[in-house]
Amino acid sequence: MSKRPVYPFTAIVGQEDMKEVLLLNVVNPSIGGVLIRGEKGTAKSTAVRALAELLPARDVVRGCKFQCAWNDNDRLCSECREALSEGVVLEKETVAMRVVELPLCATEDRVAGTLDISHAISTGGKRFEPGILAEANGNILYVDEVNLLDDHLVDLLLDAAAMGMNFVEREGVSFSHPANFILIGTMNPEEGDLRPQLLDRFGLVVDVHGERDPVNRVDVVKRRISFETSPEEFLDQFRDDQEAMRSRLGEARSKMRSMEVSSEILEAAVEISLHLGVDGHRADLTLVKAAMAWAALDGRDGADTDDVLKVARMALPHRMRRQPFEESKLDIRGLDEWLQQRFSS
Amino acid sequence: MVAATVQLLRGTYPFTAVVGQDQVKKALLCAAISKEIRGVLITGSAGTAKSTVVRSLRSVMPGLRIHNLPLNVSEDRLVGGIDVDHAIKHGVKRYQAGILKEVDGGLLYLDEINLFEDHIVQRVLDVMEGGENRVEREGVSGTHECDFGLVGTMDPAEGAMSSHLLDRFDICVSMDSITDRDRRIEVLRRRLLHESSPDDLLTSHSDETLGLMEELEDAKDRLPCVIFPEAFYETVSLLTMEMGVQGHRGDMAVVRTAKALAALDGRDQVCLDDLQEAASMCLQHRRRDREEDPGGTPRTEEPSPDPSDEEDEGGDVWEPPQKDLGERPEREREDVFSIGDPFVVIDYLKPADRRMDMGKRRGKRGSSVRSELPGRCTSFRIPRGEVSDIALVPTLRAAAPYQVQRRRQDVAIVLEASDFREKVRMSKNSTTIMFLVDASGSMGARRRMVTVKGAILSLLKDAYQKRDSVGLMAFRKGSAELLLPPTKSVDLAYNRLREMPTGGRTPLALGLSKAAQLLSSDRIGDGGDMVMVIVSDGKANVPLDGGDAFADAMEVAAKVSALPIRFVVVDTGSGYPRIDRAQRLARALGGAYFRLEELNADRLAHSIRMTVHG
Repeated sequence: MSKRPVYPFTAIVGQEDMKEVLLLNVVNPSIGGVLIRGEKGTAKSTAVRALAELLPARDVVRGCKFQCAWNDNDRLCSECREALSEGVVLEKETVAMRVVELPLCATEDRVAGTLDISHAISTGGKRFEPGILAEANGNILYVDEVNLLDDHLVDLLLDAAAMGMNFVEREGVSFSHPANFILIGTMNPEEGDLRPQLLDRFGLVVDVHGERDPVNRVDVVKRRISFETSPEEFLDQFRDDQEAMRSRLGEARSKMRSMEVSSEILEAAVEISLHLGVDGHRADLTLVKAAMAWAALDGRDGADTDDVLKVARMALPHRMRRQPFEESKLDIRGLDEWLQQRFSS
Repeated sequence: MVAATVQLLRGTYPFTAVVGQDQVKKALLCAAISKEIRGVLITGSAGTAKSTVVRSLRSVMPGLRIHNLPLNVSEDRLVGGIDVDHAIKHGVKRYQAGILKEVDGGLLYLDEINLFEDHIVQRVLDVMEGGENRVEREGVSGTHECDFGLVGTMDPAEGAMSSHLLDRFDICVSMDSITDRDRRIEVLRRRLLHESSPDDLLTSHSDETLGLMEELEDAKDRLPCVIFPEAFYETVSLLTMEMGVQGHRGDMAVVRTAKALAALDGRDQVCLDDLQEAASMCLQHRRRDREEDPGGTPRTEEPSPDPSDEEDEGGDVWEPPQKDLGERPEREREDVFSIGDPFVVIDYLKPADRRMDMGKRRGKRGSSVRSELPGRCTSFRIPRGEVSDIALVPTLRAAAPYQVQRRRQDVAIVLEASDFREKVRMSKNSTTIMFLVDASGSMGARRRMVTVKGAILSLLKDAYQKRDSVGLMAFRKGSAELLLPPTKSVDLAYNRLREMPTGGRTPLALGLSKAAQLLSSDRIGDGGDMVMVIVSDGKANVPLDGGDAFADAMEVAAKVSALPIRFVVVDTGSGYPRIDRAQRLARALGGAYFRLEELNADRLAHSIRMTVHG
């Protein structure tokens, strides 16, 4: 693998909200991804790509080209399933997680996978050629300008995200493989909306703005330039910070795993959703998971109402409306007041 | 026993752990025990656990195979086609069955059924109803029996299903949104438990699960013996007529469902409660607006031809119940009206326009068949003329049977010109719809603008579901203002519409020429369809330069009618006698003409009747 230097996550100036939501997803991948909304040039893509360095390693089935999770026998690709049924013992292999990009111009067959044409022509046999959804399995799937993605590609994503599997039944190929990914999308809201269904699939949402503090702005530029002129040196500078971040994330993950779900946060999550009239249960679920991840990231062993309140502004803004045209009603100040009243006593 | 159950069901969410959703669960159980019930459709907004409840069915029917149909399924995999391997090896064409064969005896599940291509859903429904799959394609024919249950789920916000497809589902039920605090907490608790330790959730519900399993076995055995009392047939047909249901599918669905309900309840005879319950599952989605139902006999009494009466009935019927405070808005007064109630829009952009190339247009608006790139490949055909866009797989399939004869050393597959197949691509053409709205004072009279905004909102919603770009331009007070350049962001459009003020005079000619100019500029349209929807009463009163205002408008209309833009005029006039200016404008533009009322799908039949009788 050619190692092009990646700008270190810890070197990103400001954008605390965005960094937080990304880290929450690393702590608990089942939060369901992030939608980053904001104008161009606000380090959205830099942050997502930088995240790759902080991702944990994961156990996969050795030799499987779909990188099936090693301990999840319910979700195996057609090949692993066959092997398992023939009594083959699946071996473990540890690989790094990574960020897989879905380009806007991708064609349907490249996303979902298709018949391996060269194999078909040279041997006359049928074989499945994996697509981007296969690559994304167990990794982060990153879609820049997700609101400009073609409709039928969105359908594919939704289908895969709903099942955690990609089923291909096309042109004589019948194949399925796990497609379990953290979906991270960026968009500039002025260029169009996201379909509500896709919107609902994103666990958290964050709005980013360009850095306004002049001191920080200068920092942004300085760091970027010194990274571009001598990347090695720059990476050295941040090596310790990156290491510290990695170990903090590792601890948070293990805290998260052993954390009990308290009634307190369940109640808080449901009451907030009900108060805001959020339909569907994904909001509740995300609130609880994100609150726990937040507490874990903060080094605590349990989450409380305050944590739910902290993540509410990331988990709810995009789920506020029931219909594409009803106004988005998340009135942050109003919510704050209500929350204060409701939970301060 | 418990451990064995947990082992058997590992990985599924227990059906009995689904909180609430009684009607949806009942409907699924009916379909699970009765092979007669054709199709269950479940609607609900995103994240209401639609697919969870469908997939959980397996936990109470361990033998049931639930086959998930992927959205991008191709027709050859669905129904089957030529067996390529066999063809290459033996040079003989043979039919190889597809998914419909695999699903025989099981349950076929279509998640997001409203996003599937119509021909796929149609095919699935045909096969389900006929009980066999008959295939004639790629030079092979095949037939096999095919008996399966069908469940579809959809989020109505992503677009509606056409009513003739809808009618073919026996049962249609919707997910309840759970607003009770404690029950919602329970939903969350169970979901989290399922994710962290699924076995625990299964264990805690194993008694209920085993109980239900037994009940279902029992109900299945009982079902063939369930009696449907003779007298109830009449009740059913009265019921369906009462509810304004067309056709007979509804009647049959009620009978079949009522029988299943009786069996589930452990009875050998259908009772009235079963009928009632079945009716609420089977008839809601087949209901037509009551007003469309002529009630058997045409009205004998003509409505009073009194003009004031007509005005009330024709114009104000669906104005929101806000009392006009008697004060007529003055000419130069400016108001910002709220947005009236939205409604379902008729297909007002049907390609009925003469200028449209009818041969090229097929199917739904918003999609067209074309052979050039780009677009999504939907099927293939034998090429006409030069081949440029080869459909490789179908080409290989076509060549397969001849490989035995053509066998050569250097290549594995020998292709000849006659094998070539090319792709048929379906592209969503991006329709750009520019709404040109008359925001002059006359529109403010009697709060007409509230209704008009409601109508525009409905049109915007329609545009959203069809993924069109929309723009908004308003003309008033001697100028035409672009409120929103064409965009796919309907939220923006909504906000601009809400803020749009009303008042002032009517520079119709100016608005028309500006909007046409904008639409024909290079930046917009992108080769897609362009439509201008003019919402006005046609009462122009600001001339371009001192002449007659309406004559000016007609002149501009004649000029812009030559542009490759489709025009739709929506007449907002409500008075009596109706002023035909908007209609004349539509004629001059060579476009379609609708009265505002006519856009409302539910009101259309009503308003046609009003036109006939009034």
